[in-house]
Amino acid sequence: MDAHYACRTGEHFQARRRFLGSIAGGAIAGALGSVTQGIAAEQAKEKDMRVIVFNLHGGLSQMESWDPKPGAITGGPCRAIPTSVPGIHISELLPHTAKIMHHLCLMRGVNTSEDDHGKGAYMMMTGRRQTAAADYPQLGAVAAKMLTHDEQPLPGHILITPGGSGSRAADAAYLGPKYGSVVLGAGAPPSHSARPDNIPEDAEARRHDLRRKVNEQFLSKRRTSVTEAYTHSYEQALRLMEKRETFDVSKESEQDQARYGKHDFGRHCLLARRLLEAGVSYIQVVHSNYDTHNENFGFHLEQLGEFDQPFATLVNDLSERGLLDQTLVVVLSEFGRTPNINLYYGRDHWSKAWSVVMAGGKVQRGAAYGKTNAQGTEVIEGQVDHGELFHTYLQAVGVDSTSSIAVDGRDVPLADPATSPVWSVLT
Amino acid sequence: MTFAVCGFSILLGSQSIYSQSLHEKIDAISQKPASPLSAIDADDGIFLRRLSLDLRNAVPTTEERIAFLADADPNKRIAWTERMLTDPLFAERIVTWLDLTLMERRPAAQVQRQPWLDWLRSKVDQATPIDQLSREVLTASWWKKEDRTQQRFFLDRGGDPHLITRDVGRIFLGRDMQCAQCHDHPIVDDYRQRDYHGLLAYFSQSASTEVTYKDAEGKDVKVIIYAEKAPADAAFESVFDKGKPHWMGPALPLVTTAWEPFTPPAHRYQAIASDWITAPVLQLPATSRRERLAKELTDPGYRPFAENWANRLWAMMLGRGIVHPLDMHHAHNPPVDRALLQVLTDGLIECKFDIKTFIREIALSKTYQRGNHIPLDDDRSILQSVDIQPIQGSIAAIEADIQSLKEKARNEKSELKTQTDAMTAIDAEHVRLRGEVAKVEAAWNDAVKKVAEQTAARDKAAKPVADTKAKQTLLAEAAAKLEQAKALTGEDAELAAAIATTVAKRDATVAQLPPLEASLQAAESALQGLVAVEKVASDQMVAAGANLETIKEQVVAKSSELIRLRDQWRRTCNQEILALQVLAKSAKWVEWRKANDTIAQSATALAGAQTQINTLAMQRTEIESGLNTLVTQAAEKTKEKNVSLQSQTTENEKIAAITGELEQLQATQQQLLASKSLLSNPAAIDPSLAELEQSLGQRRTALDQSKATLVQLTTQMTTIESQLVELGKQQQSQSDAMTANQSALQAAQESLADLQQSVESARSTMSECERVLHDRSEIELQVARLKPLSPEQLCWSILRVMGIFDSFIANEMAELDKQSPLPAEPPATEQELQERRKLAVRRAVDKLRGNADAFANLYAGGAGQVDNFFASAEQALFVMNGGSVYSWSGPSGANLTSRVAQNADVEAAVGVMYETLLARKPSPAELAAMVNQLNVPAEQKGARAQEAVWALLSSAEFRFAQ
Repeated sequence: MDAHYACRTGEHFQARRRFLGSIAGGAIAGALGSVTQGIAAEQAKEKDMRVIVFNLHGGLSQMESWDPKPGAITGGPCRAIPTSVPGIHISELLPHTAKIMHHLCLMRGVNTSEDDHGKGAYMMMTGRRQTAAADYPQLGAVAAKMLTHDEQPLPGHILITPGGSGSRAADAAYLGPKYGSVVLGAGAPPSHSARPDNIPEDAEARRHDLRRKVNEQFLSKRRTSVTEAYTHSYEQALRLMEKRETFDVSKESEQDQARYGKHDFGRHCLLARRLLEAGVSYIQVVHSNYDTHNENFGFHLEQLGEFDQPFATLVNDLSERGLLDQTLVVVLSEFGRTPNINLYYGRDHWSKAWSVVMAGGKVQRGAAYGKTNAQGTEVIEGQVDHGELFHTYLQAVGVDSTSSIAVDGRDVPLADPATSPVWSVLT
Repeated sequence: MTFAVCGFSILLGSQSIYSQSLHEKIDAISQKPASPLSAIDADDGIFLRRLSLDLRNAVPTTEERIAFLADADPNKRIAWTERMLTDPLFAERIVTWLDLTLMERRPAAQVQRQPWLDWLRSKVDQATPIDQLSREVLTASWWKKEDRTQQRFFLDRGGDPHLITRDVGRIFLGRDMQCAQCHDHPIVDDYRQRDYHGLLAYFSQSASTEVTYKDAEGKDVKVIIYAEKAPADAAFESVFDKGKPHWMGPALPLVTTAWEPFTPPAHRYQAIASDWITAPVLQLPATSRRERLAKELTDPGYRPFAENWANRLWAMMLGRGIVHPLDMHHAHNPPVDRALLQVLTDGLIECKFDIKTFIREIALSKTYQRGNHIPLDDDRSILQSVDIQPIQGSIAAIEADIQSLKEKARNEKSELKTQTDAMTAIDAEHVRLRGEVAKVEAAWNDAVKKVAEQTAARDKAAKPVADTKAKQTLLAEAAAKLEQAKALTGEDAELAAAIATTVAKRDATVAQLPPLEASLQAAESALQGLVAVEKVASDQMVAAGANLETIKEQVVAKSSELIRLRDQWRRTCNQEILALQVLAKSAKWVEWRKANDTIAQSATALAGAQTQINTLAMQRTEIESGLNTLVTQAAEKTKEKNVSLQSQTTENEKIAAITGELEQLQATQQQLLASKSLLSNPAAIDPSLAELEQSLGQRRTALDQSKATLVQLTTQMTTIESQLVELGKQQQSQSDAMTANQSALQAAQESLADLQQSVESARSTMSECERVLHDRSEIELQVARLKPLSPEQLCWSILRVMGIFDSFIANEMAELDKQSPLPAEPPATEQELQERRKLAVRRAVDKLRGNADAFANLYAGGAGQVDNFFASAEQALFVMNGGSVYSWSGPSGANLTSRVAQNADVEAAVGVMYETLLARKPSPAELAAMVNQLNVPAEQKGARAQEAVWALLSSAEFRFAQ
């Protein structure tokens, strides 16, 4: 039973040594997920890498977007159009995106074998299949932990949704609520980020001065990483309040607001740009809803009509502002849609052969990786799954996805150790 | 007073008269010769705050604090511990702890939270020991309706066998073996796939199932239950080592248990009906693996269970397990003090797993009552007094020890590997035998099915035979009756015809019978054949089942050996890790001392460098003044030279003038002499000539004088010039000295800076060493741990200290008194009053629980996560701007803020605020700041006091228990 594990080499041993080292040294840091940082994280942080994910809820049809099959029996009525990269064609529903294809990397061979919304979303966001026995942190939580500087006043894991508010600690699983997502429902600023009206400015100053004074006295006797983390969190909160304008998209020029479109998704994309420029490590923008069991083509025309321009504008802006090299852009769903068109002109859930798009960071530009067959029913080349994609996202922002971090005295691998990154799409 | 203290039974019998109580045993072990980094006992204020947080989940109120500090009883800590243990909040604390430990904040999906908490409350009220409670949770039956609430442990884990295996391992055994599900654990060497599957076997036949029952109104309701089937196990293999199947029966880690004897299918279930489920019909297994688990797990001889709970209860009180993390008991994570863990485990077993007794003992120990500060004075004299020699001297020995332990562990591991391989071979045979059993059981099942089919066929064949025979009999009877009728009625053609027809029909029926009987016969014999086959299959099955027993002995023997070897290896690994820890600690001591020595040594060098710099500076001053003198002298000489030069010029001009005059006079003399011969009276010019001669003489004398002066001046000039050269030389040498002094000074300053830097780095090394040693002291229980309040403690403390909690309790009391007043006569007993208060407290807790949940959402990990400390900006924003904490801090009724605001003695008010919230007095600086904050006109006092109270509630000091 003493087997030769694939995962029993290198990192695991290193991780164990660190684990023993931390016991031996009795270092308190070893016992604290929130203050433990690997060398890898420090390196990634130095480079100031970021991630933005466009989550097209419900399941985008690959046929009407990244992998059109015009003329095929499954192809539907939409045509394919040429793009800025000769030889790569995408659906005519994405004319603006076609012009920025030289920034993008299409992953056309995604096979995740999971047709359930909840389970598929879990897999795409955590890189693992959901099991009852373990819960894993989402990409945003891992990115926030590995990429966010301690001095960054803004939260590292932001979720821009059409509605809702608050924060979701569960997204971070064992990484802890610090890395859970902060929800900007309808683009509103984070909860409790404004000083209440019943606390005037001078009272605010006084209460914080007193708080600091009490801390000073206490910390002069015993200063540990936990006490530091606690007092730091208040200063961070105050700085976040100062930076509250970052969440106000109306501060952008009239011209930019027009370029992105004044609909919700356009505003959310512009907000995302503001946040990326302010150094937020991870932003997920949700666009809903693509679950087109009925009238697939009409819905995609409408939904992608909204998605296309702001998305292309954002990628272009990032490129022009020199941010694309340090920003990974991902467009994903929980799965794709069936090649087969049903009786209601709809397409159903389909996870065997669909597409995900990446751009920026260390990702190859202007590439199409993987291939489906003529009807789009099967992957025939370059097949990848959720686990490999998860590894690839992390590698694309300079995080060694095969490494482990210590959380409360136990080592946890950042990504599923049973799988690995798609190295060929990384530079 | 006497308490039912575990081991504290001096009064109970002569047997135990010499026995120490558990808290004395704890102290005997952990109050070792004081390390320089040991804290003294906590002061009363800190002790009360700590005790109240640990036993009641909230800080004490101002009144309690005042009363405790004023209490002069030398045994007041014992008395107050008892008082808190009987407070209704103690039961709530234990309920919260049990809930968090068992459910880990999982959402209440199948069983509602309130009935679950009420069930836990009833268990705490009945003083159900933790082993009994564990049994009740693990065996909660699905077929009895009343057990449904306690099935929550399984139901709200979705009945998933892997999740349940993982959590039973973690929560009841302190072992998180989840990663050993598909292969041996990749990081923890001690967790084997065998261990995991041994534990899984207890649950592999249990699952969530939907059933229907009738509610009170007789309507069908569907509900999920966690049912169990008869034992059955599957083989497993490692995903990294495929093709080598293993088989595990139910077994707990560290012990060998044998599997159940083979039970023929007919005896696997018992005929007991559920008292509530109407459909489907579920049978109850004859033997329940879960009941077996409960029995084996809580067997007093099985240490890991008791160790786990002793460790968990210890961690609840001390903030850290003796084994930590709590679910990582394994070879490479030894207990920080093995003897202490042993004493606690024995203590828990001895007090029959009673939670309150055990907690009381911990609270009474000096170890629990340790202070939170190491008495480190500024000059670190305590640390300096440590004799480093023996520590340093031991390092080489420890290193050698570690090497030999490593070697020993390697050898033991390799022996373990050999025996594991041998086990794999036995497993292969075992799996083969299991396969045989499965095969014959399938054959038997097949035979049973065929017998049933053939029985039906036989019954089908029997029917026409019976029908035909019945027909025959009836026709015969009919013929006989017709004959009788004919005899009575005489010759009747119609009757005769009827008789003939009947007889003919009977005869025809008789003819039909033989083939029918033949086919019945055939069916019957076929059935007999199949019955015989079934009998054979059944015998074979029983034989194959019995055959399993042949390998059982081997499996048991080999696994016992493996367990023994692993035990040995585990001990070696434990020793190695402990030695590494000692080494690391020793190294820190040595490093600290080295840095300290560096600083001491540097002191001389620093002083030397400073003296040198001073000397050089002094020299420099001297050189400078010398140089200045020289410069002045040279200037004077130069001035002298200039004067002399001026005089020379003057003399030369004089000479030139005199020479000119002489020439004129001589020319005049010549003309006079020449004109003399021409004169009539030559003598007339003689006076003139004489005068002229005199003038000439005068001029010549003057010329001579001037020339002499000039010579003199030239000589003087030579002297001056040589003097100036001399002065120049002196100046040069002085400025050379200056340059030399300057570079010497620079060098000295640089070396001073170097020294200062090395002192600085030695200082930071020392403080880093002190931090590590301090942390280590916490771990080794030499100083009280700085432990963050749990989200619940934080919330309940704020509510308590601001008077909100107590006002809710008072409201509930009033409500209860209104609803069901206690009779005036006879007066309510003390017990009745206590019961009423307990009820009021519980109703208040239930009403305010939503607040604690809000804190938990922000401060705790998600469902199923261990509660670690996290600090986030969202938490801070909630406390700052969320509204509730700030409004709770406001003046209301007679709460703390009101009292602070209304107290005319501002200093006293500040004192109360600090003592209530932080269990200490303010420092002079804090007092000044707070007095300044509160010294405002009366109408502003409330708002100012609110700001101050909020500042203390949001301080790091309030966030942590010390």
